[in-house]
Formats: sequence, C-alpha cells, structure tokens
Amino acid sequence: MALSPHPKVWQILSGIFVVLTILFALCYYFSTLFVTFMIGVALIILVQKLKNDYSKRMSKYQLSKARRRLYGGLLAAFWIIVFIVLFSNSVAQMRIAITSLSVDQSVALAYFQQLRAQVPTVFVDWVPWENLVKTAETRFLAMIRTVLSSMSSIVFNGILIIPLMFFTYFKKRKAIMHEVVNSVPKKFHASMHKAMHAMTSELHDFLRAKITESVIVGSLCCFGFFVAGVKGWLLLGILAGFFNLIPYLGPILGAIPALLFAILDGPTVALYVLITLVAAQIVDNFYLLPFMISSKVRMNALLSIVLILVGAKVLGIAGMIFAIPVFIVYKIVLRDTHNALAKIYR
Amino acid sequence: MDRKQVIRIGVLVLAYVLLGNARSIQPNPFIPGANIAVNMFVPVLAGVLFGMRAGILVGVLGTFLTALTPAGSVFEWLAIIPHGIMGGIAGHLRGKLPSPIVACSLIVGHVLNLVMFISFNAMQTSMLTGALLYGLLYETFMGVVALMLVAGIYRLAGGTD
Repeated sequence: MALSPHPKVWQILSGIFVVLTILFALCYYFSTLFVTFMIGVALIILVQKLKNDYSKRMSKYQLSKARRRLYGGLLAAFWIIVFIVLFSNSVAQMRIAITSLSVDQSVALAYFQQLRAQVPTVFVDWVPWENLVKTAETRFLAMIRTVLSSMSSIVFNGILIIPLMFFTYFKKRKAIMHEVVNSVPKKFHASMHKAMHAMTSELHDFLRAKITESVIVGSLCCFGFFVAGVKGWLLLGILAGFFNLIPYLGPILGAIPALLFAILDGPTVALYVLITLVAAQIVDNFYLLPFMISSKVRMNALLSIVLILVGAKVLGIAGMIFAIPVFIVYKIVLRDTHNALAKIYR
Repeated sequence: MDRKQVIRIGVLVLAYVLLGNARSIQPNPFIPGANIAVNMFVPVLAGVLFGMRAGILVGVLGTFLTALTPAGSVFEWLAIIPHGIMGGIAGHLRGKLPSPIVACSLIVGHVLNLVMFISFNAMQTSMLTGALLYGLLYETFMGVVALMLVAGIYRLAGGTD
C-alpha cells in the first residue's frame, strides 16, 4: 500500500512509535524481568512444539484423552528426572575440576614460567605480562560475579513468573487476545486482529528458528565434549548452545568456559573441544542458517545484519539478541496501523 | 539408496565410532571392569529413524570400523553381526510399535553378543550371573534414554524419518 500523505496519519504513527519506544526502554530498564519473560516465551514455544509432536504420534493409537495425558505426564516427569540427574552429575564433575585446579596451581605456574622463558626477551619486555594477567583476572572475575548475580535473579524471577506464564498461555490465551482486540474502537477490530495474528506468527517463527538452532548447536557441543572427555560436558554444551543465541559474539562466549575446562584436562582435550566448536559453527553457518533458519525468518539478510549492528551499538549484547524481534514488533504495529489509518483519513 | 540416505548412514557410522572411542565413558556399576557401551544405541537409532537397511548398515559398518580403532577389541569383532541384526530388528519394527518399545531391541543385541562371546570362548558361561544381567538391563535402559533423547532432538530440528 502506498504511503498516506495525510498529516494526521503520521501524527498518530509518531505517537505510537514513541509509546513503543518507551515500552521497550522500560523493558531494558527492567532487563532481568524482561529476560525472564523471554525465557518463559522460549520455553512455551518449545513445550508447544513437543506437545504437538506428542499428539501427532499418539493419534496413531486409539487411546482416551485421559490416558494420553497420563502417558504425557509420565513422559515429562521421566525426562525432568533424567535431566536433573545428568545436570547434577555435570555440576559435580565441574566442581571436582575446579577444586583440583587449586591443587595444580603451582604446577600450572611453573609451566607458565617455563613457557615464558621460551618467548624472546624483546617480546616479553614489550608486553606488560603481569598487568595484562592481573587486568584479565580482575575483569574475568567481575564478569563472573555479574553473570552469577543476574542468573540468580533470573532463576528467582523465573520460579515466580514462568509457571504463571504457562497457565496464562495454555488456559487463557484466546480470552486475552479477545480482550486486547476489544480494547480498541470497533472500526479497528479487524486490523487489530490481523496485526496481532501477523505479529505472533512472525515472532513465533523467529523464536522457534533461534531455539531450534540453539538446541542443535548445543546438542552437537554436548556430543563433542562427551567424546572429548571434558568434565561437565552437559552443562558446557548447554551453555554453548545458549550463548549461540547471541549473534556473532555468542559462539566465542560459549567457547570460553568449555576451553577453560578442557585446558585443565590437557592440550589434547582442548584440541578436541576446539574441533567440536568449529564443527558446530560450520554446521550452524552452512546448513542451519541457510536451509533451516532463513526459510522460516522472513527477513532480508542485509537488513538483519544492520539491525544487529545497530542493536549492538545502542544496547550491547541485549541489543544484538533482541534487535530482530523488536524490529518485527515495530514493523507490524506501524505498518498495520498506517494501513488502517490510511483507509480512514483519505 | 539416495544421497540423503548415504549421508545419514555415514553420519551415524561416524557417531558410532566416535562414541566408541569417547573419553567420558562411564563404568558399568553392576559389571566390574566393564564400561557402558554408549554407542550401542546408534544402530537402533538408525533403524528407528531411517529403516531396516540403515540399521543393519550402521550396525555392521560402525562396529567393524570401531574394531579397527584403538578402542577395538575381540569383543568388537564378535559384535559386528549381532549389532547388524539388532539395527535390522529395530528398523523392521519401526512404525509398528512405539519407539521406546522398538528401542528395547538393544536387549536382542546384548543377548546375541553374549551368544557370540561364549561361542568363540571370549567369555566363560560361569560369568553369566545376576550382576551381569542387571548390568545389561542398566545398559539397555541408558541406551533407550539416549535414543529417545537424540530421536526427539532430531525431530524437533525438523528432521524427517
């Protein structure tokens, strides 16, 4: 549809743009809460997909609804127990690895001194090694403290909010959509309905594509780390998959913990871990992104890169992750509002 | 056999060999001196996802190639045919029974392995104790769990059977 020349249309659109920006600014201000909300949304999409697959498979067997629900519940409980057992085993292995690190510290220091002696004196004098190591250690420890404190508030918020989100989505979704549509004047109902449907559909496709990508990359990393013999392979693989959500920087951030733990076990293990990470990124960039993700995410590749770079400049890592979903919301709200207003203000 | 099927079988054979040489292998708590054969579920997975031919090929080729690696032993050589049969049974039952039930064809693989080991004197009949039975049931359980997890992730990723 051609752009409307009527000034009233643009006044209203500007107002809507300001309101949306304030809303997203509030989301950024309450970032921990927003991240918890987004994790809840991701879990809902995952559970919805598993539920649909389960229903499709169980439709072959003539079972009553109650029996299907019982089997589904038992299956879900079984997998939760398996995950808890594997996860706690992984955490225990990592704890042992960290404890043994303090014991091996003197050996590591002697090794580092030996390595330093091999480096030419000119290079050693030119680089302020002690300051570099101290700065890296301070920054790394500060980053770990920030991440751990954010994670604990996300987990706490998650325990409170996510079960309610599940209840609201699976029981009250249609009622809420109905309320939102009815909150605008009657002449806008059809447009509102269309916009909400388009927004949920595009956001759902985008989030599902990203989650699928993360699950596959995380699974490949778990497999590779298991073969390599890294302690805490499950947790490190999950972290690598989770960090893959962050465009460009994510694979590097995900690789750091795995490589650090692998180095504790020796250079061979570290090499296997590096091979695993590279293989996972090759599968991600040459298969997942072009064949799986791009077909589901209806967006020009150049535009997505520009959005991510702008998001990175404005809001850092959070900006990189949420640049595209925020753009989708703006696009649909402004486009459909313009189309509806252009019909009224001719 | 089309190119897609060849790639799928190749990937699973590679996964079988890598898992056979994995450094994170856990000892079987019921069988002293034995490790959990984590890779045994891979031929069954091939059968469940891609059919009888894939199950047989992954079982035979995967076990043969693992026998050539440092992790290979006489047990691996003797397990070639049993693993092929196990993968074939899983492929034959695919679609006829639910996947967790089909995954229990791992038990068939374990039983056939024991038959081969005893027939070729790699194992004594006196070792067939209750602890061994519990150990094999434990391994079967671990294999079924691993298979369901991997098959679930494959289907979540949009993979077609």
